[in-house]
Amino acid sequence: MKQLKGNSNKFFIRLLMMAVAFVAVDQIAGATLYYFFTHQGSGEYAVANHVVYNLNEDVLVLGSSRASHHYNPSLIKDSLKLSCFNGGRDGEGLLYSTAIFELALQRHIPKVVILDVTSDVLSEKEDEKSRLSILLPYLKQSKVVENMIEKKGRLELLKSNLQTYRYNGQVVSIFQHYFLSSGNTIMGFNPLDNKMDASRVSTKTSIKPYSDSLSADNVGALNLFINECKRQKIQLFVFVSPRYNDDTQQNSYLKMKSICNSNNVIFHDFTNDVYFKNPEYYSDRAHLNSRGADLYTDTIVAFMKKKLSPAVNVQYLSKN
Amino acid sequence: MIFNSFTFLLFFPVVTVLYFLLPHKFRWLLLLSASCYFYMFFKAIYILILFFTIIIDYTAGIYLEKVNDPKKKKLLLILSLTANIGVLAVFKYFNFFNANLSGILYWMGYTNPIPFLQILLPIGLSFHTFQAMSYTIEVYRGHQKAERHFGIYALYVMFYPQLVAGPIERPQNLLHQFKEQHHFNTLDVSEGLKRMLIGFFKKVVVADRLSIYVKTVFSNYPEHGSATIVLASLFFAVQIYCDFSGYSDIAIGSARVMGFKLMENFRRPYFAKSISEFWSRWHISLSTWFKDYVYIPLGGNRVSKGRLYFNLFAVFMISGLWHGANWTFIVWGSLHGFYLICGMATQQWRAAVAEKLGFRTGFFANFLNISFTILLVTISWIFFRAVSLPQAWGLLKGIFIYKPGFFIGEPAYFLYDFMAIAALFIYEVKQEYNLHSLRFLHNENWGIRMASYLGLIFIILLFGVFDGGQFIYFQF
Repeated sequence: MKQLKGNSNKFFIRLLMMAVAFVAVDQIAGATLYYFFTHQGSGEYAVANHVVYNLNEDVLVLGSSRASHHYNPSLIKDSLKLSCFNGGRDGEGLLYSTAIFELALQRHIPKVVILDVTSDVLSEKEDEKSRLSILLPYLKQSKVVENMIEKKGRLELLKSNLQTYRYNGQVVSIFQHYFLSSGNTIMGFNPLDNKMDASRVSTKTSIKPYSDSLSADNVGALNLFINECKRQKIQLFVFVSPRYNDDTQQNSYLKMKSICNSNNVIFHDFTNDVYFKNPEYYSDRAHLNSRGADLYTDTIVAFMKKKLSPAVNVQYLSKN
Repeated sequence: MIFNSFTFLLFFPVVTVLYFLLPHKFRWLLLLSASCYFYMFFKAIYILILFFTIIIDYTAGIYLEKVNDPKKKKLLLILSLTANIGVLAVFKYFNFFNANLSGILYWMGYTNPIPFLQILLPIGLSFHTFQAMSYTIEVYRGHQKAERHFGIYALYVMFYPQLVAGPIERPQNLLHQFKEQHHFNTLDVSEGLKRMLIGFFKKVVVADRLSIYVKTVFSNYPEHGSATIVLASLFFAVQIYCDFSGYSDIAIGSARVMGFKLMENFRRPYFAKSISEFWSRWHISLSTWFKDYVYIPLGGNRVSKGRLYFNLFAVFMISGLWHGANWTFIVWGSLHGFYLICGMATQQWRAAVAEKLGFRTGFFANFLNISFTILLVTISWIFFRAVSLPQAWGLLKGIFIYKPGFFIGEPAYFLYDFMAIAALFIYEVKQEYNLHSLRFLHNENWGIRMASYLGLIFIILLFGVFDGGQFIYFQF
């Protein structure tokens, strides 16, 4: 019995020591990873880090891969005389854009924001919440990010207290983009070089119109995004950029339009713009290639020039 | 509740601490309540199905012991088995058979009047049903005394570590353990925790990581080249092994922490040199269940060659159906039956050829046999993973009719896949060939042991997939 007790005591002392070592290693590894994470020279997080920590541009573009591939900041800068950064990210929806926008506002207020959306941006999507893990490295920096992370699950914030967990699945990518930085984006813009083979692409869609259900989280995110713009006096443009294939009208689209209208937000849909139905401009049926992106950027710049608010216009004219 | 959830990481220590704090006479109640809570996380109302079979089998067990008339005994056994199989038939197979009936009637020009059931399959139904059936069969055979304590019997069926995905225990191994007093034993606790850690590694670092690539390729296979489909199929072979054996490791480990010893379910199956050896290493608790309760009652090996082949084929076809109500699983099981029959029929011929070529034993012979077994098993997994027979056929065509192109996906994730497989391979080789010089978790030096635990925990935290969801075998 005495030996059993002795063994148990030894066991618990070692367990305690291991717990202490675990916390220490977690803190050290977390701090190390944070350093490499924030100093990545390329990759999607380098773009996000610029928006969060170093944004000083007048125009900020946000949205999914279509934002990242469709808006050329150099052309916007040349035409509007307003510096621009493209913060779009592949595969991410409105929840990500809203969170990253909130983080950006803590350090810098852009004059204009372009939010690129798809017609199903407010629809309920299966994996959208699970993808919010990519915001974990920015946790504790904004209440909005915490709220977004919480949408993943009740215990997600508790798990996120582990420093290393925040970089889950990112280690190789962080070191790759730190040590082997390719610096392949131009102010966040990620042009696609290939040309679509139109003969292999169908323009038809099998999705039934208005078959989607709205996501309350996404609707809330859009309202939050618009309210922040109003509060900070940022001029917001909401664009649906062109696509080669037919787009199905969704409930999300109607809701988005009505929210933009009721808030006097400039909304324009380029999906059915016949000028952009040329396969030469596309990389695939949902993404413009670099040629298409430049033409599209010229188009939206011309559109924006007419709509820029006086406050932004004054600066635009004075720089001109 | 699933093992790879944060909820379980809170649930497990609370239950374990309470288990050791409570006097022995109340422990069954704690474990039964905890098991109910664990099961009700999925769909609470389905616990009634469990209670239905528990009451029937508990009562049948007592009467099987009381009754002396062999005919009445047999009737009682049939009643108990019918209740269990009936539950399976309604919840798991009804819609499958009804859909097939609809197909046949449609072909004959009729409409099927039987409506489909709008029900979800209760999680782990086949596992606890088979465990319950093994109890009544063993009591009927006189190998096990009927359990008089209802709570203990209910716990035998519902013991949370193995409730939803096995190992499918036998009453002789598990029931008596609930009556024995387990003292806090540091060896059991540390060995159990290590086993759990390995299970988590297999599940979240290997299985769920590989599943990303597998899912991407299988769900869009017409777009992918042959090499990609081959790689995805091999990845799936590793994924399903790690998913299921990872679950078994966590189950065995979490039971061991409380002093319970569950049966082993896997013995490094991809080191098997033949399909028959594969089945002595893969899902051992199910293989032995089918051997004890189906294969041997059908005559086992003591029958004519033709009958032996029929028995083998039938057992594996039923085993396929046990996995799921879909033709893909039936083909998967039948394919294994076919492999075994071919293996038996050609055994002498193969031995003679190997002898002539000088490949009978040795490293090269082992390597060839292991590789060929993996190849056959991987082909069968394609049917297991496919959602329909046309998809499985499409995947096989994609492999055997060459199409260029190779998909990598996210390069970092692709690298993780190979890192995970390499780590698993080293671990399995070490286990298979008893390479004691490479000890990490079992090193005699406490410092190295602790560094290994921490290393494994941080590998799980940094490289694991935490949104991977359920274990594949839960659906069975």
